[in-house]
This record gives sequence, C-alpha cells and structure tokens, in this order.
Amino acid sequence: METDCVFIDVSDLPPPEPLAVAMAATERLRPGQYLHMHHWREPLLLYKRLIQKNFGYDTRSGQDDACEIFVWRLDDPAAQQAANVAAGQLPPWRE
Amino acid sequence: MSYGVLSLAQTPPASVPLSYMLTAPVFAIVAAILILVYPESVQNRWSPVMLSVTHLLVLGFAVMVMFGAVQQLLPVLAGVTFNRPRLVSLSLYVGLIFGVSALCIGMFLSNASLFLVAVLFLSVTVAAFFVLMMLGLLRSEANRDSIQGIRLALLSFLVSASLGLYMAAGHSLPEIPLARELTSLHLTWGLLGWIGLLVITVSYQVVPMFQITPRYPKEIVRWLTPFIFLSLVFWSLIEILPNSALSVSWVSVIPKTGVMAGLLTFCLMTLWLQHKRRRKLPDVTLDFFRLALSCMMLAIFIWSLPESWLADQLNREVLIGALLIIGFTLSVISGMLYKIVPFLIWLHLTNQIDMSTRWQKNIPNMKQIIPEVHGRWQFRLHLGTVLVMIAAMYQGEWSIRLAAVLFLMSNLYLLRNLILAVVIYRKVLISQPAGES
Repeated sequence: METDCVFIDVSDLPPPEPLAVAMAATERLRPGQYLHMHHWREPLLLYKRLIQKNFGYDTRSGQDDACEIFVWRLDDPAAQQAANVAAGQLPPWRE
Repeated sequence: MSYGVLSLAQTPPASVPLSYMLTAPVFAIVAAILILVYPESVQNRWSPVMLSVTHLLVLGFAVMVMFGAVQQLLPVLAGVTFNRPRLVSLSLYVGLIFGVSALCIGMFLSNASLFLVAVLFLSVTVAAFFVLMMLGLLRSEANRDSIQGIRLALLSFLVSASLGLYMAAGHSLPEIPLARELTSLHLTWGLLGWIGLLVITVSYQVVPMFQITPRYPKEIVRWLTPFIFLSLVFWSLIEILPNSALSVSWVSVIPKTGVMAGLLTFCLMTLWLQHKRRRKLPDVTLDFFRLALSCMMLAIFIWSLPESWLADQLNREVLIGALLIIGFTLSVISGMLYKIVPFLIWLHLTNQIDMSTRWQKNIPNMKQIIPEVHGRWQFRLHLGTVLVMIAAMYQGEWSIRLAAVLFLMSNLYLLRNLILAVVIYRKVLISQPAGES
C-alpha cells in the first residue's frame, strides 16, 4: 500500500474537460492515493458525482484565489488521512 | 459544499433551456422575412414593420434565450431552486410565445385587440418570471457579486417591461393615454439595463471559463453593474422630471456619460482579457464576442457624437438600435449558444449515463455536438449581415434586402446547428442500452 498524491492542474481547460479529467483521475486512484486538483473556480458539478461514486472531498483556497480540491475514496482511510493532512495546510475555501 | 449538490438536484431537465434556445431563431427568421418584404419600413423607427421587427428580435430572440438561460443558470450559480421546474418553464414558455406573437402581429397590423391579448399574456408572464427569479435570489445563500448583477438586470427588465406594457395598453384601451414619450426609457432600460447588465454579469463567469482568460478584476465585478444601474436611475429621473434642477444641461449629461463609460469599460476590459487568453485556439464564440463588443463601442461612439453631426436623426437612431440589437445582443447570444447548448447536452447526457460504465465512451464531446465549422459559417453570415446593415443606413433598398437575406440565412443556419445538436442528444439517449443508466 502506498500513500501518494495524484496532482492534476485543470485550470487551463475549458468546460467540460476539468470535470471529465477529474472523474477519470478519481477512477484511477490506487489504495492510499488521493487526488489534488488545482482549478481557478469551485467545481460544483463535480461534487454530486463524487458523492455518487463514494468519494469524499475537501475544497481549499490556494495562491492567487486558486481553488484546490482534495478527493479520496471513503473506504480508504490512509488516503483520507493523507488528503486531510495536505488540505489542512491550506485555508478553507472562500469565494 | 452541500449547496452545490442541492442546487444540481434541482437543475431543470434539458428540455427546459433547449426549448427556449431552439425557438429563438424562429422569431429572428420571421423578422428577417419582414425586412425582406418591407425594406422601405426600416428607415423609420415608428413604422409598424420596424416596431414588429424590433420586438421579434428583442423579445422573441434575446428575452427568449435569456429566460431559458436564467432558469438553467440560477440553480448552478446561486443555488436557487424551483418547485416543479418543468411546469414553471412550460408556463413561462407558452406565455412568452403567445405574448410576443400577439404583440408583433398587433404592431404589424396596428390591431388594438391583439395589443390587449399581448398585454395580458406578457404582463402575467413577466410578473411570474420576475417574482419567481427574485424570490429564488432572495432565498439564495450564495453571496456573490454576480448574483447582484442578475438582480439588477431583473429589476431593469421589470422597469422596461412595465413601461412597454403601459404603452401597449395605450394602444388598446381608450382610458390609457398613448405615452410615446416613454419609448426612450423603455428602450434604455431594456437594451442597456436588462440585456446589458445580464450580458456583463454572465460574461464574468462565461468569458474566463470558456475562453480561458484571466478573471475580471474584483473591483469591476463588484462596482460596474451597480454603477451602470445607478446611472440609468439618474438618467430616468432627468427624463421624468424635465423641469427640475436635474435637467440643467451639464447635469443631464452626467448619467448618460456614466452609462457609456461603464459599457465602454466592460468592452475594453473583455477585449483585453480575451487578448490575454491562455489557449490561443480558433474559437467562434470569441469571434462573436469581439464582433458584439465592436458594435457596442461603435454605437457608443455614434451616440456620443453631437446630433448635428449626422444629418438624418432618424437614421442615427435606427443605426444605434441596429448596432445594439443585431450587432451586440444577437452576436453575444449566438456566441454563447455555441458554448451553452453543447455544454448542457454533454452535462445532461453524463447525468443520465453513468460515467463509470463503458457507455460513457459514446457521449460526444462539445465539438462533436456542434462542429466548429458550422458555427463559423453562421458567424460569417452574421458578420456579413452586420456589415451590410451598417452600409444599408446610407444606401438604398437593395442593401437592406441583401442584409435581410444574409440575416435570414444566418438564423436558418443557427436553427439548423441547434436542431442537429438536439438530434445528437436524442440519438445517444435512445441508443443507450437498458441498464446502463
């Protein structure tokens, strides 16, 4: 088992590519891995799909008003812990 | 986090926005045919044909698309939810179609009874739309500057529609005077308030998102729409109170200059952001936007010229109106349709087809739903319409007829593109095997 971060930058992609790229990336997560998605806006359309697919998420504020989203499988405590540690280093998301 | 989920659960079905968006070009096609048959009427803004054409384009095309888009946007942007979205949408849709049709035929035939029918349908539809959207926005927990812009646009719409309905009632009811002096306020609140503020507000979201530009500066997002709205209020007071201290010539120039400066700021800022876009790929929506912004700036330039500089005052007003309606409004809306319609179709397909199944591979991407080449052909026809239309203000009937033919072809092409997009949507849904959703 490994604890690892899969990072994707979707900030230069037009809709709906960020959503499609993020969903594909979550499907490829291995045990212990979490997804760190870098975007410039809050991906509201992604949240519903994440819940349907049994993923958890935490949205944080990055540099220059960026939106940083951390995603993990709910049945993967190691990934969740790693994601929480990484997300905890950033302030909560504010519009 | 939960509000995003709640809002999406209430997103109306695809048929809601798409019915409005597919109907809009039909009204523009009727307008083009009227101009083609009666080219001589275009030179006079008060002619029945011209009044009918103006309302076919503004209400039949622009308001039709905006009604559909706002019903789709508010759940996602503001977390606004509607009970029974399909019933609400169908009622507004039917009311708008009957109201616009009665109004435009009534104007064309100068028929008082049809004006009355139009007043009844449009007043109920407008009031219902305004109350539903405003209540939704007031309940919304989203506290964003973009929501403020939509509120101000809705208020402007109410002012413009109320003035218009009052004038329409003056055509049909003897007890109500025909108040033609309200026309300029009706036009100003409709074109610059409702359409202008809504386009600005939607652009704050759509331009950075779809054209991959930097975001609009926060100061502009926060202050520009209230500034334009307050300038419009001040402008209206001067118009309503012609003998007050406000009507002193140097004072009366301030709000008009404020509105023009506000709109010019939006145009220049958007062009600058588009110049800074991170993916410099050909994009028909970008071209529609640039044409729209150029037309708005040309209209502002002509508007700012002393009236004595242009010999024919009527043509000046017709030219400004044509630049604002066909050049700005229809361009920007057509450009947005090429993003919004494929995006909505893709979104609703992925909502209905489980993305983890193998069937997701059958979901077409945005460029397959409306290929760029077809959008570009329609853009060329629309650009030709605008250029010939400007020339037509100084030429004879033949150039007006040519502009009408180009406008007709442009809107037929737009309708074709939108219908084929919906055909693709239906085909994918029908071909989906049972058990995959």
